[in-house]
Amino acid sequence: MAEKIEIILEKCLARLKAGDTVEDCLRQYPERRAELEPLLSAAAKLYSIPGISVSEDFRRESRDRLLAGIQNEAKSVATRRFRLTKPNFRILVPAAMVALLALLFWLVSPGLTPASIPAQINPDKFSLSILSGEVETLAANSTSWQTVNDSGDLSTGTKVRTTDGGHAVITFFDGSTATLDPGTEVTVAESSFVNEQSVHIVLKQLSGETWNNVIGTGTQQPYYAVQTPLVTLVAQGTSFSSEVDTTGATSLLVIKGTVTVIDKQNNEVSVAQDHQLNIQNTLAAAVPENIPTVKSELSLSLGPDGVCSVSDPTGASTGYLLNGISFNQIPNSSAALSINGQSIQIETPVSGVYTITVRSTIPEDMVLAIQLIQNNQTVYQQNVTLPAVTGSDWAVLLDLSNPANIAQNADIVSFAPVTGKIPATVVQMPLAIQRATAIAVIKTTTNTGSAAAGITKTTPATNTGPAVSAATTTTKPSPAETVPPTAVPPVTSATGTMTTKPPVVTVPPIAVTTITTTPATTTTTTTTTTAPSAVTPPTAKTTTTTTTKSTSSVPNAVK
Amino acid sequence: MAIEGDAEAFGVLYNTFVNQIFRYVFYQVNDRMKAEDITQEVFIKSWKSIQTCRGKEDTFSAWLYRIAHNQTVDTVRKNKPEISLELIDPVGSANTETEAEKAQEWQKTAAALKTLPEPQRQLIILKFLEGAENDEIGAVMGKRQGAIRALQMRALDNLRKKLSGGTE
Repeated sequence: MAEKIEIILEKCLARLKAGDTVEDCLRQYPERRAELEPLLSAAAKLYSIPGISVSEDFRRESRDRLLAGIQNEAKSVATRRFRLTKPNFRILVPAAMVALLALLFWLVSPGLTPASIPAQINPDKFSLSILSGEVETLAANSTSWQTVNDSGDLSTGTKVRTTDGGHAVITFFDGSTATLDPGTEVTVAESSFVNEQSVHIVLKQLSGETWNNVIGTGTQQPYYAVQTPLVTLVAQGTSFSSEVDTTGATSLLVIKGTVTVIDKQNNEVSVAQDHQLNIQNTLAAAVPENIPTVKSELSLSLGPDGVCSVSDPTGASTGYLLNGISFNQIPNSSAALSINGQSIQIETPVSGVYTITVRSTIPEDMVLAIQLIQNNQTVYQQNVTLPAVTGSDWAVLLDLSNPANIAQNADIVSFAPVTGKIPATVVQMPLAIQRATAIAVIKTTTNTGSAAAGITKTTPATNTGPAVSAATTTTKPSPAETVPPTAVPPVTSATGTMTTKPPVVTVPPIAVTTITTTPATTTTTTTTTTAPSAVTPPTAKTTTTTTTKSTSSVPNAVK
Repeated sequence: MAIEGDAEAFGVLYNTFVNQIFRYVFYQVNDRMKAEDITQEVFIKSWKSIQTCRGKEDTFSAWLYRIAHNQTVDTVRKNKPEISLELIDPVGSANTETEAEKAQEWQKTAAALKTLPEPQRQLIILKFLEGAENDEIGAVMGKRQGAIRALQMRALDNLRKKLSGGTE
């Protein structure tokens, strides 16, 4: 069946926007030339209209007037609060604060387009982060592969390959990432910032599997392509995985957005979200298929009072930072942030310990809901209430020792405060920071909560285990690290409170466990965690990653 | 401290979105001063009404665009005799031949834009002049992706006819 003209027009418009000419587009659709040409010519004319900006005078004066009004309004709210003799924080949170929180959460939603471009962008550089195992690189002007012991910046043209147990993440200058599974070889072939507006990235993938997360928050849609021996995969605001076998055959799986696949004969197929495509030779016989129903899924959700991220057993992470930076390194994962809170989903999670880091944005309790779904049924669910802690965050360790049978094997190993950096290897590129803007403002200006780190146990624990302790783990800071640890000393112990947790989590009907916590008033007390005795504490991961940036239990490198 | 934080945070928002909103308004009213006034109103309204709109929009920018659209429509209605098609050169003073040609081209396009039905004009401005993606346009206009694609086709076709001197 012929493709609808509306769809073809949409594809051509995307190409025009990326810099192709009208003639380039028409060549691809000779049979629709008569219909397309006038429309594309009109569109090209529109795209050529130069931009316009507000005058600096207006920007300054208008901003000053606006902010003066806000300050007056806020002062009036503060005065009203002072008059009350018995403050109730929930009632007294000023309207301005709530509005600000909503604004900031909105700000990190997709589709935002800031106005100016930061100066310190190096589009021809990319960052290589080693998550675990061995990783090797081959510079463009070199003939011998070098084992890389630490993460750092590399130049376009460098080849990267992971060994059998190696996991790595490439972060491009706009914040887009490619996660490399073991046995993968890639070359960052092109990386440029055309007219300081259009992101242009080409990754050549010779073998193995990559998980690509394309950041699409700029004013122009980025051109992000993965070239395999058989085809080129062009992302349209996308998260997708690409696997290349020894024959060059390519398997594509699209989780978010659309990927256009182009073969050597210029045949083109569009693969939509939740579809996959296997290419053995050319696209002639390749038909996108629905991705089979997901057997298992780890789902996290957090209310509007914080942001969270999760690191999987390989060291890959997905989630958000307080400054609005989003990252998605875990294959088949997705994250969303709205004014109502945040959610993260990982389809078919791998076995091992996951570290969930929760950071507060305002001094309110945060409720983290953890849910495991298997065959469309919720088989495990826990709601963890964590108090806001000034200068500290929470690390919740979740063990999925056997995702194939989650109901029997999932549990929270421990939860404890962490300070400084988060256990995620996230490289914050200047352009990504610029485009994400700042949730951080809310933390630095409103997080005045006095809750000390700690969780108090109110019922006898049936499961005990080692606590997460920043002091007992080792990390090797990256030379590229730019975010220093905070001045708050690491908290080495915590006490836990669990009011209704059953000794064992069983198959449905779901036993919903609520762990309530209260702001502690004392300092270090006896360490207590909630790990079932059968669950392996998360120390093994630490020993395997002492020379890397990522561990599952330690605050780690954030560039 | 919190007061300063509010102002600082809103200042960040303002700096981030002011150009977008100004452009969106300008391309509809073709009057720089009027566009600046409306832009300021948009940010004042966004501050005042954000609580009531919480959760109703997909993104902050979509919500701002909606405020901008409503404010623009209101202003145009109230001040109809004052707002004429000024056809300002969007690149400023055209001091080279190429710039003069571009300015002329813009004037022609702006005149054609003004005659389009409102949804078509809104889509053209958002998509081709603001660079918004279809999902964001859908959020602003309250339409599904399929409807946006169909509207886009009609709008381009209509604009082309207007530019070549024809009628819809």
